[in-house]
Amino acid sequence: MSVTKSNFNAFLQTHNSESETIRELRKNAFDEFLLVGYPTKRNENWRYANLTTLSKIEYQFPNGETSKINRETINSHSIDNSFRIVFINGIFDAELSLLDSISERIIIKNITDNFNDLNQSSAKNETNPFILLNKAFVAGGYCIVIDSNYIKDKPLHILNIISDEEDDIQHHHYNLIKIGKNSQISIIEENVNTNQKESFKNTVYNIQVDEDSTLSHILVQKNHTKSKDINHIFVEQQDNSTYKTQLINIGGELVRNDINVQINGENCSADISGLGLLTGKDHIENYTVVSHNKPNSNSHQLFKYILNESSEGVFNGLVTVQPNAQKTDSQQTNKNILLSKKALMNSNPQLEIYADDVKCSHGSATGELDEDAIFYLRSRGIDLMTAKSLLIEGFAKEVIDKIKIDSVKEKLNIELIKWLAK
Amino acid sequence: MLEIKNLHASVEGNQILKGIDITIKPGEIHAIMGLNGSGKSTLANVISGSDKYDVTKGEIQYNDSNLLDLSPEERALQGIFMSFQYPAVITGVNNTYFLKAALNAKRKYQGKIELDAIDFMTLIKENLKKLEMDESYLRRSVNAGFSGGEKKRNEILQMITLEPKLAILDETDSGLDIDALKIIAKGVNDYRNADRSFLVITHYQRLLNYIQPDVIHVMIDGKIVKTGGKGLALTLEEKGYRWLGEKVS
Repeated sequence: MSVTKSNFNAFLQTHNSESETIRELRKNAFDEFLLVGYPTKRNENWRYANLTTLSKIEYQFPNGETSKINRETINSHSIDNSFRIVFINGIFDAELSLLDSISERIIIKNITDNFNDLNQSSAKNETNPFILLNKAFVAGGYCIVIDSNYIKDKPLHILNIISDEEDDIQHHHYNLIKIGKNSQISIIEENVNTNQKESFKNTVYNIQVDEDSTLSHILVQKNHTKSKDINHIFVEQQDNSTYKTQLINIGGELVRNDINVQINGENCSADISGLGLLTGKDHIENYTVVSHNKPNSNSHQLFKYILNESSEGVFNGLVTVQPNAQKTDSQQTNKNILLSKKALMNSNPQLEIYADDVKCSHGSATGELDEDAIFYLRSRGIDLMTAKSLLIEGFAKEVIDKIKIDSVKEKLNIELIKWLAK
Repeated sequence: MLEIKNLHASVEGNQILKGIDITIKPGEIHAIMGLNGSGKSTLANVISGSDKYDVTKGEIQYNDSNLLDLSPEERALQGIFMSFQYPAVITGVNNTYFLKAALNAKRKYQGKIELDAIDFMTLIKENLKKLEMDESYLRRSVNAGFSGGEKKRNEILQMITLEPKLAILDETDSGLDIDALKIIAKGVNDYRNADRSFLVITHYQRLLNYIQPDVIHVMIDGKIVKTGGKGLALTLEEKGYRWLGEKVS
């Protein structure tokens, strides 16, 4: 077992300034985790993931001394005309951040300074081992609260840098995004793992989009061949709200995103899309749950994977339409390109509809690059490699084009071209 | 320029071309006529280098090259162009980007300086005008959502932009109304010169009213059964293909 009782006690020692309530919540969560344990392949929701290394390694905690990240590293990630918010190993770094003239109506804090906002619910009834571990060990993350009637001027650019000096470090982060009524904001979040160390990151997102508000959340996750990156993204939408997200996943030994969107208001719109770039032995999973709980809302999902070498992708999408959620309009699409005979894609789109007046569709397609299109391009003098790249870029474009910030779009196109050239 | 000798080709074990001999000289326009399934498109695809077909016998000499040894892109770079009967739809790849990549690949091969965005746009806008095409074309994906006529115009646009030495028009007239046909024919005629050759594949005489060939070949069941001057097209129009078919059998 990767986390032991003594492991947990040592953790509590280093967090001895916390209130008794918090300590109690941590203890309960840890006890629950010990009962549940890591999932095995017998668990339907975890049948494709290989958790052997994860459950064997005895992961340590970051020692608090974050390694020096130089300004050049940060600048290489900069996005023009945005507020930059830098977190190193989950802890806010004011020096590297750029928040001049940011509105007072945007509150940005360390989650750890703000455990009350965390609204840490008890571990009771929670059975997901990663959420339990997160509750027990959370020691980093952000809290972003946007006041009501705030209309964005510049997007927020969050840079989450994991920088481990040693192997076998675990990071448990909790990120809270709360958008007040009638507000609009764009958040571009980049998760970067700078050192190629064996690492385990486990993040829970709590995203609340209040009435008449719009949140655009672009999440770019770059991982390496030894990183395990588990994310649970919980979203709650109120009346007339819009939630748009693009998840861009580049590599990773084991990446798992659980996206759970609860549409609890009427006239809402949820646009959830993802692009996965996999090569080597990368393994990326997206499990989405979109639950229409009120009438007159729409949701669109588009997940695309490009898989090379021996990589493996999983898409599991579930849309549920509750009995009173009439006039729901929901679409779910998963398309994948296999660039190698050894690559593997598991796609499982599902619909559960309990209302009768709805428009719902889902579809999935996995295939190789179109031979006729390749020949067409070559017959115009374009070499085979370039022809393939053009087709792959064209395939990815549908997701990247959903991003409305040109500089971010441009950056992602460059990332894609860099990935293709590898 | 192009010398096809005793060409045999098959697809998935079925023999389609059964000994083709055609010689095209610089500046000549050759037409191949024949019914559906006679092997006309196979010939066009074999010349362009499609790997769906196996050449089982014969050879194709193109200028100084043994054409069958070259990859499709090398053939294109050396001046061969095919206007596809069914052009591929490539969603997500922008026309401008594609055409610029193709043109610059060719310029690079020829040792010329690659065109920058501004020079390229000037050129492409001129060519669009010649074919009476809308500039919105430039923002669309390659052939995505194009009507049959738009696809064929796009082929001719690529042809006049890439300036091949040998252009093969595979059923470019099929599915076109008379106005579109005239525009395309004009594109081809304006573009004729003493060094540039065409191989026009069609099963109607109609196109040949607008693009006048020097030589007409009639293909039946994978063989050229008759070769003649432009009068042959009129005979075919009058008598159909049967008299030739009976003759061969």
